[in-house]
Amino acid sequence: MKVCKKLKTNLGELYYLLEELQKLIDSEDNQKAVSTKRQIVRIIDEMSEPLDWASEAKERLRTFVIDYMQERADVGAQDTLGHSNDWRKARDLCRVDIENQKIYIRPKKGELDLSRMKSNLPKNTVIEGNLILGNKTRKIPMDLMVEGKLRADADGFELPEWMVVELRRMNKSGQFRDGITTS
Amino acid sequence: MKVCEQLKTNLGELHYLVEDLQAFVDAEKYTEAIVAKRQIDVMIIEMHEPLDWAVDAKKNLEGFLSSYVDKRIDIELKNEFSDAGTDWMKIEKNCRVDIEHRKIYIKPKDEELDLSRMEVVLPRNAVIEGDLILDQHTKELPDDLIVKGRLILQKGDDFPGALMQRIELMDFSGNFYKGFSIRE
Repeated sequence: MKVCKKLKTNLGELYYLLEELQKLIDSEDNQKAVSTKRQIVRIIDEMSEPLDWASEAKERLRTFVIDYMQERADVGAQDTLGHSNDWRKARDLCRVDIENQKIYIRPKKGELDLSRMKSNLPKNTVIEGNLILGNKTRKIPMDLMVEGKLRADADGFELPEWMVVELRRMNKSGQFRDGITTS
Repeated sequence: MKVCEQLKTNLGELHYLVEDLQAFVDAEKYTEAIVAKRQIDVMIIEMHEPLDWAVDAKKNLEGFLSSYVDKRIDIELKNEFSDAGTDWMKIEKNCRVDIEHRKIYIKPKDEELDLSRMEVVLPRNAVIEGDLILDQHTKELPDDLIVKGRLILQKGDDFPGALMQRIELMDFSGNFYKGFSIRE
């Protein structure tokens, strides 16, 4: 089970504070109960950020996988994500890491080919393998991480100049572990 | 132990919801976790009113008791709460804040609270567990005052007419269990 440490801490504090609140209410120490209640509100507020992120990340991942399946079928491309007739199964190859706020996408054979597709990778994505982009690529999340090589030279397609510049900048920042090849 | 039913229910639901939240977070069901978190928020909001009331009520009671003690010393009257002398915190033990019914119970030692010759104002939501004696020094009375015994007015010539009318109305509403009488 991979539960975010912050959430675990928050939950632990919530249990503790609830016990406190119970005792204070039982002993009619209402002033302290109000203060404990405020602490509970603060803890609940603190939980909003990671939970909201995780919920949105799951939704973005789901959208990406569905788009990918749809487009792959439309263009007759090979399935590089895996199990892509059922996005729920494809999703098993991906995971939302609430601790590090990353969406991990693991292609079936270590390489995700998006070269003939317009589908946009979600924000906070980490590709656990190589990534192939092509001239249909319109957007790349600025925080994209590729744990293999980024290839943007498939079939001699050329990416727009601004995108090449952006990819080189990202590569310089160390976002593509095995570097980048562009045409 | 007299714990407000609503607070007990809220606390029970809070325990249940936090367990739910834990289960959803463990299962990485974040949308469901957000819903559980929102329900916790609602529970907490529902607890504001009774707890805030109780805190205010205690403050009001403290305010009344400390001003009662001060005035009692000023005019050299006997202490009708207890033998606690000037220590209002000991006197406070004869009184209680009932969060369930939103009432402040004030119990005089000999079942008679004499506020004549004093300008002290009883707190809102007060219930006097005995008789209450007032006179023309009384400037204000909480509308929801309950007297479980008799309300006795030491009525001098300058007893405010408006206050008299209010007392009659309150008696008509059943606020004074044994009615009220006037000592001329």
